[in-house]
Amino acid sequence: MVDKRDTGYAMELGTARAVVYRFLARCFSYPDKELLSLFDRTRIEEFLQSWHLLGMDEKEEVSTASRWLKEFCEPGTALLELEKEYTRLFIAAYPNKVVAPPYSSVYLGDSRQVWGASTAQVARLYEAAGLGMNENFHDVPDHIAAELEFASYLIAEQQKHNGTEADKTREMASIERKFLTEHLCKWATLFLSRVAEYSKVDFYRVIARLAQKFIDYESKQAQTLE
Amino acid sequence: MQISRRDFLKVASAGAAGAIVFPSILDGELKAFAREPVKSKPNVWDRVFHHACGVCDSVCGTTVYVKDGRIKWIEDNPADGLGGWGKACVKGSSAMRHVYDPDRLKWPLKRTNPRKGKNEDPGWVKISWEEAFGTIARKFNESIEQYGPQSIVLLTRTKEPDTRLQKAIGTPNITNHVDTCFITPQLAWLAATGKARPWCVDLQNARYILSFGWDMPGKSKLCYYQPFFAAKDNGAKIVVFDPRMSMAAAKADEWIPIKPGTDLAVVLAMINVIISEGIYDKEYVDKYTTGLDKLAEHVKQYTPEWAAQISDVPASDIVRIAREFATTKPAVIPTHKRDAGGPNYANSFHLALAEVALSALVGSIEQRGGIFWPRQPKVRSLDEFAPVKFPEMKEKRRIDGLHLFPLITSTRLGNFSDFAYGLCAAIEKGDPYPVKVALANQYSILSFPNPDHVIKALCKLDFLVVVDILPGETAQLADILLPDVHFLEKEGAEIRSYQALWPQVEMRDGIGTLWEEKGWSSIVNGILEAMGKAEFKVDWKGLEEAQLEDIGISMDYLRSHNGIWEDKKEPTPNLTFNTPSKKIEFYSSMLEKGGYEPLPTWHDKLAHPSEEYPFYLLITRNPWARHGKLGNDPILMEIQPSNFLHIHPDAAARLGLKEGGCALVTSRTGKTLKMPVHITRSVRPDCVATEHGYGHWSKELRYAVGCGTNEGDLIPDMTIEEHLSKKSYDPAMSACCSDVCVGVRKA
Repeated sequence: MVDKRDTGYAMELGTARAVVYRFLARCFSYPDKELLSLFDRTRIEEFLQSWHLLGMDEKEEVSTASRWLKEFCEPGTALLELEKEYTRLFIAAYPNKVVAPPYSSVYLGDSRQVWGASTAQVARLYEAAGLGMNENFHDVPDHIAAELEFASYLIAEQQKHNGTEADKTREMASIERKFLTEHLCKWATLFLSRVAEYSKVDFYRVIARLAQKFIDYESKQAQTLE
Repeated sequence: MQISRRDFLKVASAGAAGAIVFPSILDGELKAFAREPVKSKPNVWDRVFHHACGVCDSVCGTTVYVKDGRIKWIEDNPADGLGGWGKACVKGSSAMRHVYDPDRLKWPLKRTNPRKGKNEDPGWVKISWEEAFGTIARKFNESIEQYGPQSIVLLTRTKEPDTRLQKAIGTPNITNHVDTCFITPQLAWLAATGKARPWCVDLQNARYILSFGWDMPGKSKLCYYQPFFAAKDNGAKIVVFDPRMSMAAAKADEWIPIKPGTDLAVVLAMINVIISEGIYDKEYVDKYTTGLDKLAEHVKQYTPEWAAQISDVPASDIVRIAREFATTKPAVIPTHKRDAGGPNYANSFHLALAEVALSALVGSIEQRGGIFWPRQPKVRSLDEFAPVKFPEMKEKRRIDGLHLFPLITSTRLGNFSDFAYGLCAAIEKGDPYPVKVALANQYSILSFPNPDHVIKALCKLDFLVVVDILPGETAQLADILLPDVHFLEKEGAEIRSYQALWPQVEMRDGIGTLWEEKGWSSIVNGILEAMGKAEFKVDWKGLEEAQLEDIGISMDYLRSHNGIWEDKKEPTPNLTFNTPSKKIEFYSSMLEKGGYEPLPTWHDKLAHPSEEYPFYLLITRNPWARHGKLGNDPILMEIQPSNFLHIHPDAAARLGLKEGGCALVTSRTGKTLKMPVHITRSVRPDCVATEHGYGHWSKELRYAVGCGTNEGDLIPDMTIEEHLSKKSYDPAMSACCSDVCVGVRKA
């Protein structure tokens, strides 16, 4: 094991990216108590620190999200509002259609259907990284929450193995690059702009905006790598 | 805000005692992933499997191609010679698009908006199955305690899990779609032969096919479509009576545009001709039937001239076709649900009864080229597998008045069209007793007469559970909405019933559920368990395995045998009947005993053209439609985005209607539908026709909503009193879906 304190700037940047990915993955999972606890002091600080380390400054939007949560004195009420909006945006919507189906194939394929070539593409990347779908994750592999979590995992793994297992790190880095440039960055913006535009709840609107900024950053970074 | 590297590291290492110093946010276990890849099935990414189609009851064998984990293509299974005959229809090969529909029901949902109606947002939130079952059980148990088990209504089917649930609860109120589907011929066959409706027609061996509105070729039901065209290739003569030129009529040797609802007169006259000329099959009739004398005497009144006046079919044609039918062997009358002998006219029961008699006269029942009962393998029944004693059902009266129709009650078939009246009365006035909660399984409101009345009734319930694949109309009114498994996700085996000329079992080897859907039998088990009625649960998987074992096969056997087991042999006639006389009874003792006319007798239909409503309404279905279920398929919807009003050029000219223009159509329901006009000589000048399967209003069906109109809005539903007024000649309590006249004007 290596002591992270002795490593350089790139690693911290990596940690920061992993934190943001993980934070967003939780935000785009079905809202529960764990989501509320993301906005407790320690974790929101972790997120903000990471956010700024990446050279971004959107404190206002984060505080809008936090404020929105705090405005509901009862956590239960806030949760119900989030559940309703999450269901409307991503699961079953009235009227007309699910506002922003959280699956890559809906944006990347020509059929606007769940499970397309991009779903298989990403599921094969999961396999290449040594991961399978959790038995309790009752959803399609290219769900946005899974993909964000995957990015976080890939980056964190590189941090863990850096210096000890160069091959492994290289492999993870290559999967990461492929995943970001050929997959996630291609559809996440399309998806997020729908959420930012159509969410009736401030919380999801600002989270989507933050995520958009972050994905833009990631796109640019990934391009410079190539 | 600037942040120093040191600050960040402080945060990053906070709380970390060991060497790995990650922010706490990264500590948690992964939610979506398992560290070890889980492979539920071998070759999950690219595989080909055989699968019994579940779109319609033809249950054709199919071959399913999975590429990159997704079903890409569905085609025939050449090994299935009873369903698809080596072909797949447009519905079956489109089925995968519903599996991957982003609007599909994925998890249990709970309504948060207490107001219900067509334009109310249900305000869904996702819940766990545990919560769903818990809530349903609590509501059911409370209702039982306060108002008795009869206060729970099941809108399901009379299949095994459904009746288990019904009997475990102890409610008489279980209802389904059969009164708009097949109850009429079912009951007629029961009355004449003692056995409920036979589902097999040996069309390919017939030399003469006589159809009274039967149009399975037009519905692309391959198990009938294929043998129909095989018969045509073999040179069979095909004669079709239909006020509309159906697909069967278009392919027939003769299309006779009969006046709607008068087929009974023609069949009675044909019976008269065949008996009086002595051209019936004497050997068959002597051996296997009784009551010929009474029938002969009775039909003397029905002369071809009399029938011609009623039906617009020339007497000479009636005589000629009767003679051809009796002397060209084998001859057969295929029937199926929505044809003239289905539950469509007030006189359909007697037509179905007359069709049985006409078939028996030419020896077409249980004979090569005729009609057969399904040949199914002998397997243990549910009651043998899981015997259980149900509580006594204390309340026998049903809210729809079915108990007043003992012949249907004895067949255990439900009824629907009165349900709305019954439910409204029960909810509003507690008459005959209060009803509070209901459960609907894949039950489309749009498939029934006057759906608005049903919606009104359902909105008044305290609690409604709906199980479905897509968020259709019924789902919009649910308090709890449960996701059903799509047949392409299922694994299991199907014993063939339709066209089972020999025993056949087909495999389902599906892709597994994509989200948290549960099959209907698991849902029933879940509700029973949560209600504290676990003793009524059934190991459905175990039952299926036991049944396969009884046949001497297994899922592995099916996998390695093209997905099909069969005991292929031409059916040997089984001419034993379950009537008191053990023969086919032209004079039905069952009907006589029940106080009904025992012989097929002329009765008129209910509705006739009037000044206000001068046109007969004919309803048809497109080959790519299955009830109203496939409307949310973008590609199928593209074929024809709206239904049309098909009208004869003479009538169109009189009304000033133009091709592509619009018409307003009204009926005595008080509804007006605006329909695009299609001018065609394929309907009689006194009829208009339209396609079923349109007019969805559920705002959660992105492709189907707002496309076309639902003709059900024009079909009046009937009160229990109205049903009772035709009881003497319609013991099947049929819904009379086509027994309606409409007015048409230019929009």
